[in-house]
Amino acid sequence: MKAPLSWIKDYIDLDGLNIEQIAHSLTMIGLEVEGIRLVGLPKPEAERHEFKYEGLAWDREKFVVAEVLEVLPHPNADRLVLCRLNDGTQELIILTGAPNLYPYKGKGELAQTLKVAYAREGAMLYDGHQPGQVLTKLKRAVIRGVESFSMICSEKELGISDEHEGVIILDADAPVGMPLVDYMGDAVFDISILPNMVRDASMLGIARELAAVTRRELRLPEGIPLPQGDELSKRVSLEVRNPELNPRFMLGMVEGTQVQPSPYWVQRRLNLAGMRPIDALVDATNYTMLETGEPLHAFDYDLLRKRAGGNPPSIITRTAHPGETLTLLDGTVQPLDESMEVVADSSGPLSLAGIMGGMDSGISTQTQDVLLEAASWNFINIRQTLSKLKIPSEAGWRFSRGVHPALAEQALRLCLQRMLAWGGGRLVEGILDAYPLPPQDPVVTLTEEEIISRLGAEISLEEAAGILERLGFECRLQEDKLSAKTPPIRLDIGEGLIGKASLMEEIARIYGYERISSKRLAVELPAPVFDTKLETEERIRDIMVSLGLQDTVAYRQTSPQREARILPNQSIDPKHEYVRIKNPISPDRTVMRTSGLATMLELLEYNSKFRPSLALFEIGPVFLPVEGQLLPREALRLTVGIAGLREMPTWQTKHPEPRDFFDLKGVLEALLKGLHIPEVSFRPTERPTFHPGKCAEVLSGERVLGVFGELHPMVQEHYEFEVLPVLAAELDADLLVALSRVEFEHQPLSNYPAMVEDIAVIVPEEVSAAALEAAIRQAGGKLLVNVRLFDIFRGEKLGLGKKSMAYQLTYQAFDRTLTDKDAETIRNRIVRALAREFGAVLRSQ
Amino acid sequence: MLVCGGEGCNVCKGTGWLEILGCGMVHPTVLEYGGYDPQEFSGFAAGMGIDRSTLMRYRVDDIRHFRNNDIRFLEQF
Repeated sequence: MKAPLSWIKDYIDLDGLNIEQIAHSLTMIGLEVEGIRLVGLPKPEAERHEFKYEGLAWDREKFVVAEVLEVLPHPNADRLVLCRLNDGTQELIILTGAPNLYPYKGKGELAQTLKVAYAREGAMLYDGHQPGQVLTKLKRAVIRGVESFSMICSEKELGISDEHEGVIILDADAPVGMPLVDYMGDAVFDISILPNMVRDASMLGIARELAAVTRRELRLPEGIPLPQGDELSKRVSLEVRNPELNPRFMLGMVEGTQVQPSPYWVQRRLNLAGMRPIDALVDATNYTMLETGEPLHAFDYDLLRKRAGGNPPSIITRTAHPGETLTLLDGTVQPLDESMEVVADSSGPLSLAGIMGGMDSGISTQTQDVLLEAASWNFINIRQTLSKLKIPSEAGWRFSRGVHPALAEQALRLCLQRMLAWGGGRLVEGILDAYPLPPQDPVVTLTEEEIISRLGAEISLEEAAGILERLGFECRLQEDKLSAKTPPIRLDIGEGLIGKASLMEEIARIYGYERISSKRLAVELPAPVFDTKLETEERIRDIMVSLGLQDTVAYRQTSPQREARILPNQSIDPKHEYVRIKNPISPDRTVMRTSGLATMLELLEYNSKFRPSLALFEIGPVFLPVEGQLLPREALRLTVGIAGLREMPTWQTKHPEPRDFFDLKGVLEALLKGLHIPEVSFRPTERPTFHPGKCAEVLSGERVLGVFGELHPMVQEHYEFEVLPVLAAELDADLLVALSRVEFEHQPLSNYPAMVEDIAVIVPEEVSAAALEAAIRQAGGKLLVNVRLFDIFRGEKLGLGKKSMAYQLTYQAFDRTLTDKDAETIRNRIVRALAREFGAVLRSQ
Repeated sequence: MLVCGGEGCNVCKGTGWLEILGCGMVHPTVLEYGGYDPQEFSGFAAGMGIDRSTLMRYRVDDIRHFRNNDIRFLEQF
């Protein structure tokens, strides 16, 4: 909402407050000033400016009101004229090319002088011939043999609008010689109006707010008294079919008007407020809307009468009938549906209620008799229509947020007054007013205790009443209670408890949030409730990061095609269920992901361009549809992806090894150890995504925690990995969380020394290390406290299909020092067990 | 990313101010929906965008870095 300062000042005296202070006050009460455009007034002096300024100040000496006494032809050019001009101190001859002065050329001394905006040499203004706003200094020039050192200004040059077709003709009462900034210097506040403050999307609304916070008097404009009489009721009839959609509809009429421009001061204000001036009648409706917040609509009465076959028209407000269309003011033919409210006559729709008028009944340059509508509409209905049609409309913007029906009367009185003043004509006696649904303006009571306890500020009932009264509420104070009746200008105050909250917001807002001092919480906070799941997740993250992997967050939305990439044949299984997204952000992301692996591989692919070694992980949900349920099961997954070299090449390690299966296994082992997950084991398995023989499951007891391995070569082909190999894991993080322990039992230390020895056994190739180790531990018993595989050897000497596995064994007791005899007993037991189970042979030396 | 200290830049759009956190008293209707009797209880809430304040703290120039999972960004933290 663009609010020119001069306009606001019609309703409130702001002397003593500069532009920064006014903007600050507005911002602090919820009307945020996003920027200030100077149109003549200078930027206020301050060490630091709180607001963003743009625009042009008009120097007092350089810009004045002047008058053109006579317009003479230029000796050397048709397109130029010379003006005999009085600038308040002297008479001069000024050169101009303004086409709007040509009609006065050669007419001698003008009976009615033309008041103009005059700029002297050295003035800073905008270059009229350059696009946009380019500042330039007015310099002496010789144009077609005539010296020119000053000029008459256009709106563009002064920064009022983009208009540069002609010079500004000021109103006849402009005082000659007055500095232009005193006459019409202005500053426009660009105010962001929040959706629940639409009552302030008007000059009066803003002035009222300022009056409330500055405690200055508000001057409300009246307009003409409502015309009495039955003349209008003979000229037009009115029917409101849906009061819930149209709580009030008023009509007034002016006849015999003449299309003409509105006074210059009106045009200037409309321009500054962001609306283009058209003519006196249209301008009157727009001006009144901007002033009061109530949009109005004007019909050409003769067009309505023609549509009614020469008879008095009947105005009907109703919803559209099936198949009806309306040709809007801008010429587009708009199809209507039965939810849309229209203003119609007996021939059909005339306008889209509260949003836009129709071309067939609108004001034009031929209009003489004007039927003026001031109405109120159901804001939800207007909002629905607006969002369906997406028509930009100042009226629609306001009605879709709610305009109080009482404003219709005020606006009608003001608009009729202006139409008469600016367009001439005569007022038709009488108005029509259908007001089937006056709103109940709530009465809310508050106690001082309520105010202090909710706001935490020592605001007395008297002060609260003062604030509310300045906002228009009717207040009554009774001992310890304040009763406030909502003024008929706003629809946002609720009833009961909600009403109390609404009022307290108003009180605090005007009192000043910044005046409410901060304080400590008076009560004790309750004991915190820990979220074990989140905490464990964090521990998993911490462990993974300390192991050297990077945390990532992948997209949760994907497509079946993307997920199918992790299968060797890339085919989408029609039986694989997905949670589908109704309004996807892109055609590429239509479903919720069911695989952590799929997103991890994409991340590895993307990052493989940048580093020869990658180690990433992600903890996040996958979304598994559940039959018969709307919402999916969100299963938490830990996904790990590593690729490329084990380390970066350095002078110490010129050719680092690539990562392999055991690197990934090591990460998982370290993680599970860190979480103290019991009975961890690994066993080979097969999955389509992974390389056969390089894929395993990790378990805790009998429960499968997840699967990992090196990527299947065919799956690798589906991606553009710039580093190889690629290995990945996907684990059930919900299970990890459930099984992890913070508290674990510590292993006691023995006071007696341990004995360490190595054995090596030759076994067939297919015997797994896990099985061997399990057998060794089983046979070794309690005194065998550690088993570690440290070498695997294959060679001709052993024979085909055989391998030698070397283990370091540690024996220790808690009650005595073990002897060689003890060690021999344990060793023999182990060797016999291995021979029995696997046919293992002890390897000598 | 320019952080102007109140002088005005493209981040604050020249105003010198940046909204970081929204807060307020909970509406009585919302309390009711949440199962609390608004006659007895009042509440307040505040919420801050993590992205915005992180952007400012580390002078990150593009918010999309937080979602791209680019290793060259991640490894800086």
